[in-house]
Amino acid sequence: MLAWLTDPFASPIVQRALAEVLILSLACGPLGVWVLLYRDAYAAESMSHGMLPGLVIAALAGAPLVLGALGGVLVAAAGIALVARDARLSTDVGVAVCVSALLGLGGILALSPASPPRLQELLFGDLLGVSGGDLVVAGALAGGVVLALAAAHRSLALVGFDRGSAAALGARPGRWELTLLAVLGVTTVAAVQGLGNLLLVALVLAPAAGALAMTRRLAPAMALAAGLAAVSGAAGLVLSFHLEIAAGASVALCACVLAGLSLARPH
Amino acid sequence: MIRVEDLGGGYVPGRDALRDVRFTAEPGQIVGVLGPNGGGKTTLFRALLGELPIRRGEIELPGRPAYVPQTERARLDFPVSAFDVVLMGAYARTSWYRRVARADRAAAHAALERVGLGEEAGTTFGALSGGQRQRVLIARALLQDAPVLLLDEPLSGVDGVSAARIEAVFAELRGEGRTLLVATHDVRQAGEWDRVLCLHGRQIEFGPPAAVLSPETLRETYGAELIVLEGGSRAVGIGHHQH
Repeated sequence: MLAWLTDPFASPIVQRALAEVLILSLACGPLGVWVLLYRDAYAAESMSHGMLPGLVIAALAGAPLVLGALGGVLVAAAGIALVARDARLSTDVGVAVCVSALLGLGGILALSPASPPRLQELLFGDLLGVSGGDLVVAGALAGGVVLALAAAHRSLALVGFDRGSAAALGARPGRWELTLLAVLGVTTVAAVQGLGNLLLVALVLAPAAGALAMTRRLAPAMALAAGLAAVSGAAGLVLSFHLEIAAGASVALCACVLAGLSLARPH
Repeated sequence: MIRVEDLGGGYVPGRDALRDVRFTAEPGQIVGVLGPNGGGKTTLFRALLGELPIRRGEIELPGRPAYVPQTERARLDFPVSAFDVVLMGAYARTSWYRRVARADRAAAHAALERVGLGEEAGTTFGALSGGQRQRVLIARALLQDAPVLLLDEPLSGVDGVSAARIEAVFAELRGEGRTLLVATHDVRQAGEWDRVLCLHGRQIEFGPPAAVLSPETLRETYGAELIVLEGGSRAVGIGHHQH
């Protein structure tokens, strides 16, 4: 039994994949708690999907995917902000229109004859293809995210708990709502290499949903979410090794199963 | 001392939510702020907090006011205890990389004791009753240690025990020389305080309750929305909240 669990990690490829998901868990778990409390789940989903054109262009140009992801997130955010400025439309409409357009554009680019056959990798990630350099980049980005969340913790709590009195207690709501979205953008960029732009949201939202179902305190919820994300990551890699299925997808499925179990747990 | 001179303003250009407000309130005074829903009570508080998008006139304050919102504005599903909420009153003076100071933590416990909720420090905020939640938000304002407190309908819809405890705390704060502005719909209650400010899009009247609380002033304040109960001792405003 023990060997069944440890065998997969004998290979350096799986070791690097494990390091990648553990690093991402530290950022995605706590961030997910804020995203859910701020009811930003739709924005999280959209931001990661909307960057597909950026990823494809980076792949076509042979540039690092992280750069493409960064450009893609910025364009998606700017597009959403632009459409949302029209008072006749709600923000949801702006997000839906922009993201579908960007996903379509990404699809056209990716399916053109000139593009390298890497679309799958962009959509679903390539956890087992993570290099040492990728780990360093993910570590730096995730470290930045954790530091930013620590620095913003109290202000985010003030605004999230009671938006109307936050300013009187020292936190401007608009500034911190934007900060959370920016941190979400950075996390998205950090996670896309490993989990792909369709699956990375699972590691942000699912462990947080599970953690919030289990505890009614902020800091424990964040620690628990990071823990659940890490367990999903390790479990997903073990399953993908033995069942010979895609690593990123098994990690995402494990995270969702764990969240489902904690939500279904009797109170 | 609070001094307000020719205050006006609102949320969108060209449409004042409130105008012609001028009054002064001394330390140790409780000012009851009366008016119909949408009459400008919350707008006045936003202006005093420096959060009104469009503002004219002059405001003089002895320091940053503490604000107690209506309890239903706070999120009930937020994962915080009563103690966590009170501690938020100390966030503005705590660096992000430091723990909240031991003195502030002790003060937060003391503030909860003061509103009669010392036993409930560990209870999740959303699991408390409406009156208890209101008292927690008042304890949070106590921790801010502000010379001026702005309270938005703190006595609306709270149970008798909570209302009595809240009024006792008001009396203590008055004794400490703090100034309280309390938005309320309860004319009888405002009649027991030091000053009354009547608003209906503009200032209708300001002064000691005996001089201000006449049937004419109340009719002008609440307009057609006024229902007078109990032989003129209580008035209820009906209307839609609008900004």
